Amino acid sequence: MTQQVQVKQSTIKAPLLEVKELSKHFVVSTNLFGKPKESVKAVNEVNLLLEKGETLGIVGESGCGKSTMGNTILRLIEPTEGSIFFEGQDVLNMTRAQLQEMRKEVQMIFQDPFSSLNPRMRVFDIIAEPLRTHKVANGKELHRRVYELLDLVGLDQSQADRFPHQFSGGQRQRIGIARAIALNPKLIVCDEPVSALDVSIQAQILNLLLELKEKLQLTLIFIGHGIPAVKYISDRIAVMYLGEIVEMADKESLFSKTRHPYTQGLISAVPIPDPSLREVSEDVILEKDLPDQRNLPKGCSFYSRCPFATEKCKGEKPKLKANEEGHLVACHYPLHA
Amino acid sequence: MTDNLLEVENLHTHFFTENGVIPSVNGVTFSIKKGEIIGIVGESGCGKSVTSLSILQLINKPGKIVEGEIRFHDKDLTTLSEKEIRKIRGNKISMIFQEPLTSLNPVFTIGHQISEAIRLHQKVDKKEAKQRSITLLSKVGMANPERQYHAFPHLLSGGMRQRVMIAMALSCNPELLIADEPTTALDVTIQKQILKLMKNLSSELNTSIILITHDLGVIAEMVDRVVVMYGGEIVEENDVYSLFENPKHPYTKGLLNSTPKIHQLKEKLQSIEGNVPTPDQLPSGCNFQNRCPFAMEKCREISPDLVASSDGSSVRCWLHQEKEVVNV
Ligand SMILES: Nc1ncnc2c1ncn2[C@@H]1O[C@H](COP(=O)(O)OP(=O)(O)OP(=O)(O)O)[C@@H](O)[C@H]1O
Ligand SMILES: Nc1ncnc2c1ncn2[C@@H]1O[C@H](COP(=O)(O)OP(=O)(O)O)[C@@H](O)[C@H]1O
Ligand code: SF4
Ligand code: SF4
Ligand SMILES: [Mg+2]
Ligand SMILES: [Mg+2]
Repeated sequence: MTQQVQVKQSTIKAPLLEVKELSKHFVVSTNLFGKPKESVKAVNEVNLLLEKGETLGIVGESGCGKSTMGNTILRLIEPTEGSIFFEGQDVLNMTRAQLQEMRKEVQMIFQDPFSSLNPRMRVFDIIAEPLRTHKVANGKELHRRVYELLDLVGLDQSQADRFPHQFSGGQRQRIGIARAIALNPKLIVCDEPVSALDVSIQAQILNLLLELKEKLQLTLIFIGHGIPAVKYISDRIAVMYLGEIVEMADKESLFSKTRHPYTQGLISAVPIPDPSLREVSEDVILEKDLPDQRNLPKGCSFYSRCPFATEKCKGEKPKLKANEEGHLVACHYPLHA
Repeated sequence: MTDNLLEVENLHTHFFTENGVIPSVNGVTFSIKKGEIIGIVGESGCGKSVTSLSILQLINKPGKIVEGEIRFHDKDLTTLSEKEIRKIRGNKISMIFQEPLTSLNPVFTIGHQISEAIRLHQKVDKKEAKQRSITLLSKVGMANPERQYHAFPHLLSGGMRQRVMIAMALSCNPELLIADEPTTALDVTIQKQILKLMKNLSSELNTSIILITHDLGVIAEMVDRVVVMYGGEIVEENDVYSLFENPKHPYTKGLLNSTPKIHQLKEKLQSIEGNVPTPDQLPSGCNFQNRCPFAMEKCREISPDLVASSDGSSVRCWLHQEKEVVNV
């Protein structure tokens, strides 16, 4: 495994973020003595390298661990095992002051812009809050900065005195974005930022994120259900299944030379908005639902749903390996081999 | 007589709230033939669900159908008594909603609920009902139907619950199935299974389906004909192939251009400027004027009619009413 990471590492000179063997296991039941009896392996030994300026998309079915991974990277929840390096600094062993400093540089945008904004605060104060908390600006400078941020996300200055409920979903997401970029962060983890929005508004927000990324030289982790939207915004995409990354590659390669049977099933399930392709689109239907996450198979985690599974897959867990092009896959019999 | 199974004509459904009247649906007219699958597409709040609830006579206070007819087998459903409509609802017309958990009773097994649904409309004994339920469960792709018959709803995944809802909806061999965002809460992999299931059932049993969704991908894969709604009105209607190939209404075009596509190379996504309006904010004139790149003087003053053209499409837009005359 370390060897694979090195393959990729040689192409990524100075990673902004490095995640090593990261795991988060939630205890879901305990025995009589309060000892863990059953746990859900929400994130399981994940390795990631994030290059400065890139957008890494994360896709996978509900419950596969996307949010848990994002939250762990931000230390919103503590990992069970593993390590995280942000600009070479060990995030899990930071002093309070260091962590405070990092919190400025790493921000988050959530799915539901409504519940993530304080309903009793005016938009001005919502956006000003991080600037005040981190004592970055006050007085006139604070006003100037908030208005500049409103402008950047396409909101009108005259709207600064309103409350969140006076805005539509898309506008609320713009407020969330203004707040997230207020401190000039280097990395933003976006957890399904467009999933709750209407199609026409989704496109506005995706384009806004792309524009801000260029302008402010951001690095993004973009978590999403909607595979077309993730494809649109990302440079590279990681596919997660039951807490593990099963495939990771540049987006072109992921779609044109799909290597993991799960990815193939996932992509072929995406409805294509073109009725003339109705008959020709090949169906790889993943017949079964996800297995019980408390009792994962010991071999390949995709074994129970995989059309190509063999005895080997049942007993032996495939490792995430790269081919010459750096396209990573965890499968004993990758497609497009 | 027509060969239409259902005809909705000039439907107006309003909500009379404390803060004023909310005109959710305004003059919706469409029909569906036996065995046909039609799609109603549009963004949130455009009146899709209110339309489907109106068909089923499930609009409760403060809502009211203020105008229009809903003819099913040439019988106007809006004039039926509650007792008469119950014989049709869940029997000849059934429905599936977005969130299957809220539509299932948590204290009874799914088998019990399907059996009850069968016995409500058909004269069969308990044993027969159970047998039929198990057959239905296996038909909708539940593994181990005998065992799942005894399962409680909360133990099932979202996809399995939606399959149970479909089994229930099909228990009475409905002539019309109304599915309101049946897969919106599900993963694409499960969505694919459910959609395939619905499509097979429709062709096997010749069931007509009204499929309501905001996802143009789902529309493209499933339906024969599309109704596009915006601000409580139909703005365009056409067969699915023509609609995607040659969308006419600026809103339909905008929707198509703002939908990201996995099968196309990177092109900048176009968005529709502005916000989705709520029914109480609708302007006079064309509902789409604030977001329309082609809006003219006239659009601000007079609202265009839905005009049918000889090629089978109907469009509600000034650009197309005048042109049609030239083109035809
Ligand atoms: N606090 C918690 N306690 C117990 N289990 C949890 C907790 N948080 C998450 N999980 C479990 O961990 C797994 C991963 O959850 P996570 O929220 O990361 O999934 P996700 O990929 O973000 O899903 P979605 O697409 O639905 O947002 C799931 O099985 C979930 O039920
Ligand atoms: N019970 C109700 N009371 C008041 N307004 C309602 C009610 N139900 C729906 N509406 C309004 O009618 C409009 C159309 O709603 P709906 O048909 O649910 O939209 P959608 O197209 O998303 O299904 C919305 O603006 C909604 O707020
Ligand atoms: S390792 Fe085996 S079971 Fe797992 S994805 Fe590959 S072929 Fe399928
Ligand atoms: S009528 Fe006018 S504003 Fe309305 S969609 Fe047509 S061109 Fe646009
Ligand atoms: Mg999540
Ligand atoms: Mg609805």
